[in-house]
Amino acid sequence: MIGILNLETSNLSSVTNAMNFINSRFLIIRTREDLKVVDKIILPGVGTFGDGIKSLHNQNLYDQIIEEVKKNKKPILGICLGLQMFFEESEESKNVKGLGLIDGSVKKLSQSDLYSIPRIGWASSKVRNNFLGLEKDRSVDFYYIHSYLVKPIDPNIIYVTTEEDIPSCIKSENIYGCQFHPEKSHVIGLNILKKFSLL
Amino acid sequence: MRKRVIPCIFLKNGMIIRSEGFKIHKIIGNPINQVKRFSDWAVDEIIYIDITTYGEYHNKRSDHKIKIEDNKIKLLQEISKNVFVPLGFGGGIRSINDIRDYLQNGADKVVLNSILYHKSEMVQEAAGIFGSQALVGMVDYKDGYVYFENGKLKSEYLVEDWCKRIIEFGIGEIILHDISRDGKGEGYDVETISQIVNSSNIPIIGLGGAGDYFDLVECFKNANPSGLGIGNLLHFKEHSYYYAKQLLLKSKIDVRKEWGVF
Repeated sequence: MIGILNLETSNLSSVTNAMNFINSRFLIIRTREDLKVVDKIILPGVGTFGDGIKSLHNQNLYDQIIEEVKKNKKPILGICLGLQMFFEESEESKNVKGLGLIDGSVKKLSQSDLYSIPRIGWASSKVRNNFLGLEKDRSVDFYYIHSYLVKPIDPNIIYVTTEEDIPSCIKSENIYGCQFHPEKSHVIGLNILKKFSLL
Repeated sequence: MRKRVIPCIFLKNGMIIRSEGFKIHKIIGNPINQVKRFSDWAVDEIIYIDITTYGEYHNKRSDHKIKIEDNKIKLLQEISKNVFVPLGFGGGIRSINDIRDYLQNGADKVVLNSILYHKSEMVQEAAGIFGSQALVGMVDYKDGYVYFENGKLKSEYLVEDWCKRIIEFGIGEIILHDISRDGKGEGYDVETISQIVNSSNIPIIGLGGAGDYFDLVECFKNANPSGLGIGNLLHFKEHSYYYAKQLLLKSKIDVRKEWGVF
C-alpha cells in the first residue's frame, strides 16, 4: 500500500485520480501510524517550500517521514515541490529547514531564453540513466511547472535532465523525485507512477 | 519549452457553451465526456472557465447518461477523474479558501479574473501560500481596456499596465483574452499579444479569435506567446486538435508531438 502525503496546498486529487486510474491502492496519510503501515510514500507538491514543510510539522509527520525513509528504507517519490522538500534548504523560503533526505539545496531558476519563470509547460527531457521505466538515452516530453530547481551535491543522482541541464529526475537509493508532474504528463507520466507502485 | 495549444472551455450551469462576443451563449455539450476526449487526445493542457452567475448555480439538464453535477466543486471532481494533463479551472473565485478548494479537488491551477480587481491583496497572499505557478490571471480586454465580471465591468486599466500590475501581485501566467474577438473566428490579436510577450517575463497565452489552424501559426510566428487557447474551433470540427498540431509542426513551430487515441 502506498501512502500519499497531503500538504493541504497541493493538488492532491490530481495524484489520487492518477493512482485510481492505474489501479494502485493508496492511503492518504493523516497520522504517524499511517506512515508506519504503508510500504511506500508519495510526497506530491504544489505550493511554496516553507508552507510545505510547515504543513508536515503541523501534521506532526516531519520526523516520522525521515525515520521511514532513512532508517526503514521505504521508497519515497517526491513530485515537484515534494522533490524540492527532500533537500536541506531552499532560496524560496529562507530559514526553513527541509527534510534533509538529500544533500544539497534548492535554487531559483536562472533566466534563460528557453523559458519564462515560472517555467510552465512541456519540455523535452533526456534520460541519462534508467529511471522508473524510462530507458536510458531516450528523450521524452514532460509537463513542468516550477520556479526553483534542485542542486544535489552528488551529480550522479541526477537520472533525467531537461533544458539548461535542469535536474528533472533524481534517484538516491530508495529516494525518487521528479521535478515535472507525472500525474499530468499523460501516459508516459502515469507509467512512472505505475512503475513506482510496483517497486 | 514546447509551444502549447490549450483548449479553453466555457461552462454555464454545468454545460459547455459556445460563446460569441462574450454575450451569446449556446449550449453545446457535456463537460465530463468532452474533457475525457481531450485527455485521450493528449492535449497539452485544458482550461475550464465556469461563467455561471455567482450564487445562481443550477443545472437544467438531466437527460444525459452521465449525471451532470450541480455544483462547481463536484463538477470539477468529476471532470478531473479522467484528466491526466494539466487542468486549469476558473470562475467565481472570491477567496483563499475557494482557491484551496479548487486545487484540492482536481485543478492544477486556478484562473483568476474579478478577484484581481476587487481584492488584489488577497492574490498576493495566495501567491505566498500556493506559489505563483498555481495562479493564472485571465485578462479580458476590448479596445485596449481591461474588463471584469465576465466582460460586464469596464475598468480604467490599459492592458499593458494591468498585466504589469498583476505580475507584481504574483500571478504566474497570463491569458490575454480579446473579448471583442470571442467567437468571431477572425484570428488572434497578434499586436497586443506580441506587445505583452515582449514586456513581460512570465508565460503569456493568447485567446480569442481562432477561426482556423492558420491563425495559430500566424500568431505563434508573429507574437511568440508560450501558448494559444482555442475554443469554438474545437467544438465544430472533427479531430481539430490533431490537425492543428500537424499544421504547426509543418510550419516549424516547436509543439509537442505526442497525441493520444482518436
